[in-house]
Amino acid sequence: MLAKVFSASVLGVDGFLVEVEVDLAPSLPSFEVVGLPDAAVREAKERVRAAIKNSAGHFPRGRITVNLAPADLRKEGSGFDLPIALGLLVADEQLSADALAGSVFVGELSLDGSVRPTPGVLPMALTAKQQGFKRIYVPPSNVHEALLVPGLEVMAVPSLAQLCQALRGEGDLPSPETFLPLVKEQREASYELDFCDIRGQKLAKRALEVAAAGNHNVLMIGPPGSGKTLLARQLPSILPSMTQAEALEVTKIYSVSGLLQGREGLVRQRPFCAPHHSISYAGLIGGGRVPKPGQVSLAHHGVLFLDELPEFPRRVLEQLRQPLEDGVVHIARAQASITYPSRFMLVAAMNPCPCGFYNDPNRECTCSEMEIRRYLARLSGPLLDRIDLQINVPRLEYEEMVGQRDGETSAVIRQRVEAARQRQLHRFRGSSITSNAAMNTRALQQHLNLHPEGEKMMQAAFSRLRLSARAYERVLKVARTIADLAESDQIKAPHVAEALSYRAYDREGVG
Amino acid sequence: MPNRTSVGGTANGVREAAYWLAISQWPRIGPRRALRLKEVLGTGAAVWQADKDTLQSVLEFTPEAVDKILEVKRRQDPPSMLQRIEQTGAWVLSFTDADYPASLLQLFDPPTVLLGWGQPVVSHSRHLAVVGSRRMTSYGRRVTNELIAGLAGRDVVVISGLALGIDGEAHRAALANGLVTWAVLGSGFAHLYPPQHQQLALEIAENGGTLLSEYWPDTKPEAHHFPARNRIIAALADAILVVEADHKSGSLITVDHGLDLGRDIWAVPGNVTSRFSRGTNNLLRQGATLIASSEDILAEWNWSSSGAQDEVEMPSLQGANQLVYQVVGHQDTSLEEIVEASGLTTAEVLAALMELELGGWVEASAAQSYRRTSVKA
Repeated sequence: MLAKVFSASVLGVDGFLVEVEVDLAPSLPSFEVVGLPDAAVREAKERVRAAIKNSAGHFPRGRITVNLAPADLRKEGSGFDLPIALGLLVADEQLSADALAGSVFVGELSLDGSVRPTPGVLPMALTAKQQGFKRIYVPPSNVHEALLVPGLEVMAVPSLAQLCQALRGEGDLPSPETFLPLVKEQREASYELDFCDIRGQKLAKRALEVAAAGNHNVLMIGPPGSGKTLLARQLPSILPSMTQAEALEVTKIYSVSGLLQGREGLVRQRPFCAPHHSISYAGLIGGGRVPKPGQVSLAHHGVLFLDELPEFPRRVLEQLRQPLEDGVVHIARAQASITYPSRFMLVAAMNPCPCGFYNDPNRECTCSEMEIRRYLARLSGPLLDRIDLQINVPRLEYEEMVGQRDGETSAVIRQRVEAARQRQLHRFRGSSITSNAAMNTRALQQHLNLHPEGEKMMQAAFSRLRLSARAYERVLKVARTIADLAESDQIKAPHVAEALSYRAYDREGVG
Repeated sequence: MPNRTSVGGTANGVREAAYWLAISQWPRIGPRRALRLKEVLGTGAAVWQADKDTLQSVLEFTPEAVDKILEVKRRQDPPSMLQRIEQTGAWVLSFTDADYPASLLQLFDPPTVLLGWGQPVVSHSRHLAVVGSRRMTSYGRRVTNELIAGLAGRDVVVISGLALGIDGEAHRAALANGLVTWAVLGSGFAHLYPPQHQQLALEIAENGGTLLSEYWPDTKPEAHHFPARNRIIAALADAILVVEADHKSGSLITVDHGLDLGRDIWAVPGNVTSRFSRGTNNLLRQGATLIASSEDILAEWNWSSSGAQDEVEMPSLQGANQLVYQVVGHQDTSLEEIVEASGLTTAEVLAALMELELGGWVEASAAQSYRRTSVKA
């Protein structure tokens, strides 16, 4: 007899529906799974056999064929264990097919029949809802993900035995709410660190505010121990709160990566990812034999912090250009091409020279001129072209660090940042641009509104500070953001002047 | 400079420089043996026409070594060699030419030929070599600029070696203050070193200055060329000013040559904790003249200083700019201090500082520190 059970899987960050067909024919006992299964799916045979034997009833005899449709997409992971087991039981008439109608089943079985968590439940639940299903059965640990989808009935399945009883009408499944993690959902993002906890570093703090307001990428240059990492960590706390849509996108990525264990609700905090410079290509960009989102996607709508930027292999850094430009990464495989969203703010940090103490008033730099040059040359022009702000972060004197708490709290700064972002959204309404950093040359010309005094200053600055031509547009974009922060439609001379102070690398680079 | 006249011209119109260019390419003939040839035989033409026995006795070479010279000579055509170089826009002087800088002849190994790019080298009332570390500190940069700015309007040539650090800064400061500057290279013109000073080299050649080299245009920079070119810097100068130098700095080679030639040695004192002032402080201990301002230089040369005019002038600044300018001291003042003391926001202070910097009132020193420029204050 033939049975059909619906399940779901994930491609990229989106779910797709999988029809699990099970055929049981009287013949010599055998068990085949077809429909491009990977190793984990093929091994489902053994888990299903043991799970059925140890919990629900007896394992049917005969020739068993399982087909996973659509047959041309590769199926990965262990989430098909539960639907295959149910299909077998239906085919063997131990369960009635009607009980399964209108439902999607996802879950990995352990040998004793209990159900284990599986990644990607959120996008699967979204797909089930879109395709008109009423109910989704998920592992207890994934309940909170499925519950994010409104209008879908969520059933938690602790074990195959309990599920079978429920489907036969002999008992009820426990309420899904009992499996919610203890950590309560945050309606508001909250951050451990606050901007007012950082003492000194006024230039860096202001620069980060400008960066947050215009979604500009930042490069921090400073000796070890000057607080570059700390500053970068605070950055998410002044970024605008995520919209519902943004939070859902981020949560989907985390769901696919299996990183949602033990937290309830949407991810409300902007992500902060700080990969080490030994990271592999696939780790940063995404991919691998079983494609997974990389750090650039886990930093979607958040901050990607690359400490010791010149230490990253050049090949890896060059790959950042596509996500920086388009906000997505494409991973092409023979089977399918996957797209992961990756719209992040890049915050990079580097030492001024290999030993880190170039230009330090108190420590002596031990690098040779050549070493410094080679170190600085490791950053390619095209990558630097995408970084609008470059700032020096000097090491602070002890007295400066132990001074009183100073400056504004993150919440105050965030308000200004959000106001500036609103001005930008208003200005760019009707176009695909959402922030000053994303302006192309034409948009820049159109929205510049540069005061003649400001223009005079630009010209003076370029001859006197020996800035490169490619710095020209960057400075104007940043000046536009500074004017937005000051709630000014016109870019005035002081705005240009401040923007010019964020070109540290250009100025260091002059021999 | 095709119309350059030369005393050493021969009857058939071939210039001395052409012969010496050819001779300088002979195997085992360096500046010292070329000088000996000149002392014994007089002119390049005479050397070119000399027979094997004459060369052998003057140079005290073995017959085989002279054969090698003759073999090279057979393939040479002096006029076309000269023409090839002049086609690149360079001019050539040999040490028998009248225009050859006389000060170079004080060397025991003067350059046989001197190739120049830009203006001809003519004598000025003073020639100041400014040398120092390739890795200057912000202090070195500041002092170099201030000392040279104080010489603006005087008949002084600033000579240096186009290297990174103090050398490059000296050339730039000279250009900025309208002074003539000569850069002596350790390579040919086709291989300017360091490459990032290519633009600077062009500016020197186009703004009344000169690039000088004793090497053929296609000579690559090699380590031993640089100590050799230092002797030319030392010889051309009346005084050698060392701004910043470590113990084993190449600038000290220039100083040694200068001492041999009897040039004035001047040094800028530095912080005793800075390794880039160890060399200069040591020079001072050994008796170099201490130079702390451009007035010291003028006094050394018995030139009156006209410093009265730039004392009183108070900056005509307004609003935030004036407030910030008052807070910024003559010493390094950190951004943190300026923000605290002025009571303005970081953004306002940054904007004001940049405007002051562009106006030449203040300058950025080390990372995030500022101070007043001495020119305006």
